[in-house]
Amino acid sequence: MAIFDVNLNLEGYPIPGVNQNLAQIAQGLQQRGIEGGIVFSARAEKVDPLSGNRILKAMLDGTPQLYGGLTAHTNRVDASLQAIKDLLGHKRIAAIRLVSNEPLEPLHPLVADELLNACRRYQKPIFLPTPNAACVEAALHLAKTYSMHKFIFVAMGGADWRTAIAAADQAVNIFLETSGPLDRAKISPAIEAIGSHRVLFGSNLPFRDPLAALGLFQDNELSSLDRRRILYDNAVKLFNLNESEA
Amino acid sequence: MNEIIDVNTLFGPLPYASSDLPVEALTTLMQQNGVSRSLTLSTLGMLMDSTVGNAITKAACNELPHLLPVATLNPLSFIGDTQPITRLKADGFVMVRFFPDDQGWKVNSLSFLEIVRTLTALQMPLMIAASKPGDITSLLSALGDYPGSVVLAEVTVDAIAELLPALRRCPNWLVETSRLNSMGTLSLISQTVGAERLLLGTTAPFRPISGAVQTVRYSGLDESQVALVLGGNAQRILRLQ
Repeated sequence: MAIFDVNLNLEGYPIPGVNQNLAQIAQGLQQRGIEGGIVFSARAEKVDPLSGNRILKAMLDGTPQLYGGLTAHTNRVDASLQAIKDLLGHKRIAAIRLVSNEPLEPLHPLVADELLNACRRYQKPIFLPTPNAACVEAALHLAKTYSMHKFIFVAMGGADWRTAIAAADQAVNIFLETSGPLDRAKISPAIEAIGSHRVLFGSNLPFRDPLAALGLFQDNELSSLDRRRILYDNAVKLFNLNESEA
Repeated sequence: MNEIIDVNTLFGPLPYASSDLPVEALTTLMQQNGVSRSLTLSTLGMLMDSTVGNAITKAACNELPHLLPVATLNPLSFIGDTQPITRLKADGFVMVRFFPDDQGWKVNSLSFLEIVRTLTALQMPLMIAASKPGDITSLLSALGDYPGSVVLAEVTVDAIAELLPALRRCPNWLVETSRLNSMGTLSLISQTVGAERLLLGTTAPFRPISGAVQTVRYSGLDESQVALVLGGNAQRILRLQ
């Protein structure tokens, strides 16, 4: 079964030789039978959105199975706006994520507004970190305000995954990404509430081996249709992957 | 085919899991994934009362011989009676487990050190959670001289720089893999101190078994090292037939 991992990380990992460049990431995925994925830059998140995103974009040329995810930082608005303007329109940049200085704190809507407005013309899916219920609530507010965008709730609420499912039930432009705690119980209720067409497989590689993340789908009784949608089909459709390959 | 032994499972109600974790769910997952034996404990012992929890654990393991009982002890409720501790081995428990974070105590507390002193005579294998940076360093002073096997649990890649020197310094220390599912960690540990120091752990049925086993199989270890991690090391330290 084809697998596409929507949550991969470039750099920012203590063990060398794993994710310092896209070739290493691509090799790791290939060894695990994963077709491709979307990569985000830790440098763009932790150091500089402009140079981090540019380096990621430059690396994409050598790895056709990988797509870039732009990182916009709510505390580095000018550099993030420049990165959006320069890079988000590119075919191999499949999405954008919003991050802040405090990963466990909700995104402030007033600052996020400026970045989200800049994204309007590109119409690419937007990843929002949702490691807990407070972040889910803030993300739901953004999803309702910007109904023209599609939002991906990264880590689907963490241990508060029931909150994320309830939020996705309120707004059809929300997708749930499955990294976060490896709680076997969270997948079936998500499918039951919002349908498998709005759930996406993500591992948060290299912090979690995709094989460990896939255990959520192997040790659960899911239909082959649901499994195929979550692991591959939904990503192809949401990120227009066939079109960007053309 | 080599035996697969999971050293970190549990059963019973667990607040941060969304549902109860019945022992049947554990045995089903074990069967589906070819795990022949698991070390397990009742969550009641971890969360509330070790005496009652240990009795439940023992009862479940008596009924299901492929489950091996792990005792829990809580230093917060240790008021000096060492007799129940000295009986644990004779009662059939194969390991003693500690949960400082879940139970809210420190590894430098006198009550914990007193329990360790009592267990020293038994030389039973211990397992203790070390999930945060700094935890492993703190454990060195508490358990550095313990004569039996010490298994570090819930260790993540964030503590890899502490873990490696601790394993080098203490040859009887091992680490279980339930949270070591970040890429490259198992091969780095194996290259640094040997695959003999790794034990398969999953926290099933809360978390999946399949992904944990696959992570070991695809970690870059050779076949004999994988066999050690999946079961051989547990057989050795627990003296299992």
